[in-house]
Amino acid sequence: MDFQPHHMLGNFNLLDDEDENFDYQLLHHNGEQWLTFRLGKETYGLDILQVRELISYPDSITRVPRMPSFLLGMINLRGMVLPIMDLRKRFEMSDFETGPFTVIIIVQIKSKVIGVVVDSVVDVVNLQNDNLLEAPDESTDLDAKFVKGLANLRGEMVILLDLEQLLAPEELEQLNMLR
Amino acid sequence: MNFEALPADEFLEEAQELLQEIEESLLLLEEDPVDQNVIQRLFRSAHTLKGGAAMVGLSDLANYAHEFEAILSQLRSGTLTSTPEIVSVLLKGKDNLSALLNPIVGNSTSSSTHSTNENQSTDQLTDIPSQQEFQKSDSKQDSPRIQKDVYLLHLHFDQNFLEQGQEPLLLFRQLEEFGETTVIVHTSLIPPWTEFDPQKLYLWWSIKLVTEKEAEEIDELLEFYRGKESELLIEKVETPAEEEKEVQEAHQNMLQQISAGESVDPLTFAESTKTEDEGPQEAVEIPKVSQTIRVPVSRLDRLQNLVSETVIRQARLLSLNEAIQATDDQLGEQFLQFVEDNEQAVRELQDQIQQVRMVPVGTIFSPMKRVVREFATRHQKQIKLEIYGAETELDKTITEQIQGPLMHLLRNAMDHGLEAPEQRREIGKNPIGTITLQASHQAGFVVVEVKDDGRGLDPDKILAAGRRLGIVAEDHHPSEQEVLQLIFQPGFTTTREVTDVSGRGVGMDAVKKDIEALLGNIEISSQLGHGTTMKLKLPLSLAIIEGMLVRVGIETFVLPLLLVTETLRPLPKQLKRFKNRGELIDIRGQYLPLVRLHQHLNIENAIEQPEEGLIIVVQQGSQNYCLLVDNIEDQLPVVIKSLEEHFVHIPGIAGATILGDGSVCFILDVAAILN
Repeated sequence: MDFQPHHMLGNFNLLDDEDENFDYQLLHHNGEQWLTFRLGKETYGLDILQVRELISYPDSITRVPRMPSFLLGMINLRGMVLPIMDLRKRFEMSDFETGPFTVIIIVQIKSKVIGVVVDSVVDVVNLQNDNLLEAPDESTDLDAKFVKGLANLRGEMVILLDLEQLLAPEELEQLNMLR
Repeated sequence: MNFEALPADEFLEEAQELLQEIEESLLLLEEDPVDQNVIQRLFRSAHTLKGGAAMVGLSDLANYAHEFEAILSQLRSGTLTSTPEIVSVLLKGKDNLSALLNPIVGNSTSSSTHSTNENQSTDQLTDIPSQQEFQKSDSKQDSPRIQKDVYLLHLHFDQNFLEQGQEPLLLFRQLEEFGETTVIVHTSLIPPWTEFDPQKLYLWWSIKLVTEKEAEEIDELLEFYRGKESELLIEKVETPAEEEKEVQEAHQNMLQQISAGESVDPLTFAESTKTEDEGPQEAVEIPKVSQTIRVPVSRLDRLQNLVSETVIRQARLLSLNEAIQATDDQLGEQFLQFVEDNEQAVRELQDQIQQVRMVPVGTIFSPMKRVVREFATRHQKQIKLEIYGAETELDKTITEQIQGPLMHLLRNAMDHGLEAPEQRREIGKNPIGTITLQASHQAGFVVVEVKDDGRGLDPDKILAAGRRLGIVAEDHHPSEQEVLQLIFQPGFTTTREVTDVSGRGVGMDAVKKDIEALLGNIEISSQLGHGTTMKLKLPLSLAIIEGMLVRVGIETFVLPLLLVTETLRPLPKQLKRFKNRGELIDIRGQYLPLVRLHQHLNIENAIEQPEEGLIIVVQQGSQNYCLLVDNIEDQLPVVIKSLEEHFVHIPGIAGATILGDGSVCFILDVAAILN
């Protein structure tokens, strides 16, 4: 059960030459790179430094007994056993389906590795620091503590997730209790 | 405490390699006596050896290597041509170098006994340069000998010696130029650290000097180092060459004495040992070059990981075989043959790497002797520690991780288990309490026991304490074994009311947790008035364990085989139901609690009737339980993958493994499920 890098990866427009607003300088000097992806109707962003790789949805995920439903289970990624969390279930989205575009983003925070399921991956973008907005409390359906900020990307709002908060042990522990 | 006992391990390793090289080069030299490359190589090896020896303070070895090097230098310059005779003398010289190294490498007997030998051989070596005299060099008596005297110097320098810019090492070097020295450091004057002043010199030295020089010359040298409060003494030891050995012996005894913490007048010792002379010393046997290599544990870990991967792939091959056989019978047959051969090799590989990681459990037993001794003196108890099976081998990591828990159990046994001597005498026991540490191999795992012959655990008192603490309900009447298990409850004896109970259990929950984290088991048995036994059952390795693959509903899990005592399909009549105690299964008259795994793991569509599924009897603590599963799929070695580092701690799951088809399978944490 080996996973190929996601087939969509080759199609990413990492450097959008057509975009006259694009500032190459930013790529390496200012701002940060974010991986954007879709969950339901909204676009979210993850700090690219936390992203390890993308894999397609595996054939089998071993269910973990007595875990909340958003923890789908564990997979074997080249000999490493990783938990998989479905962000759509985590954020209690109602209707979604797992199709050919469903992707697992393998993220790494310090030495911890986890896969998160999202509807589809969109792009890798540069955001200047002054593009970032403070997240108003009521702006999204999400708990404000999971949102690092908002960004305006060519007229579209991107919700930048604070992965560390989302995967904080206290957070997961609390969910264990709720089960 | 002497210089000779301090060589760095790196040097010892290097020295053995160098000596090996020297020997090989010498043999090459015999074949081609004028090969400059070989001579150069020899010279370099000898030179490196000399430098290294001097650096770690092995002056005997350094001096000898120096002589050795001098001859090689003559070979190099051509003033001496190598003949078979020269080569054999050099080979002998190399053996002597090994002999000088061996007491340090092997059993650390003091090297002073060897210095007599070494004197001979040095003489032999220095004789070589003149080829005419070379013929005589075989017999030591024939070689001319200059009269040498032996002096004992006792050097107490002024405490402010260092502040005055003086340096004892300078003196030692100068003395070395006079002749052969053996230096002993005395640490008896070092004050407690509270009064320790790093600027001051607290050490003093005794030096044995074998030299041709007169006492006056030595005294002149010492003059430079005298200070206000210094006390520098020179004693001439009247020893003709034949009696030198006695001094050596006295010296050696003194060394032992000093390392035991006392300082002794060397001369009185020489007197006292004179009578015990045991005749001529036999030639030192030269042990073979050590056949071991040192490898960092991290490298072994990596190797272990690779082997683990191979074990997983082997399982993969097995499952692939089924698919192949389904399509092509003949090919499948051939493939199966291959897979089975490979299986053997992989098993062997796994066993071997496991072997390499094994250390005798005695390595953690030995420090306990000291702990027991100290405890006994401090608490006026008389304790005898008996150790059995110290040679039993266990994975290095496991050995390290059980050290803490074992120490805890030992302290408990000493503190709470054993009674005071008077009390023991009153009740007719031997006033000396015995604690037994015992390790042994049992099928696929290791058992370590800590046993005392003390007062034992009192179930009534424990139960009373349990009720008082609210752990045990008033109307519940647990079995004796259940009562004993109470001591593993967190906080069981942390309250004051419980101190009148036998007290055992301080931190016992931690001990239990540590053992269970290793996928092991801890069992108590106790007889009131006769003692307590704690029995630890541990897997041989942390990386790969023997597992039983069981199916529950559509899911499979691994049970550590170490915990499984038997498996059976019960008859309906074996199933009993008791009020308050739930379902029990009657196994040969023993009623064991039935645990439906599917209920605990929340799995649907699993077999619910014990007589339709299978019962796996597992041991948890001292109690056996019946786990209900649908079926047993396989029994296999499983590679443990830790889950802890990846965000989720899952109660009831000890870890995961990867099966032959690449899927993830969980290893059940039996202890957590049953609690």
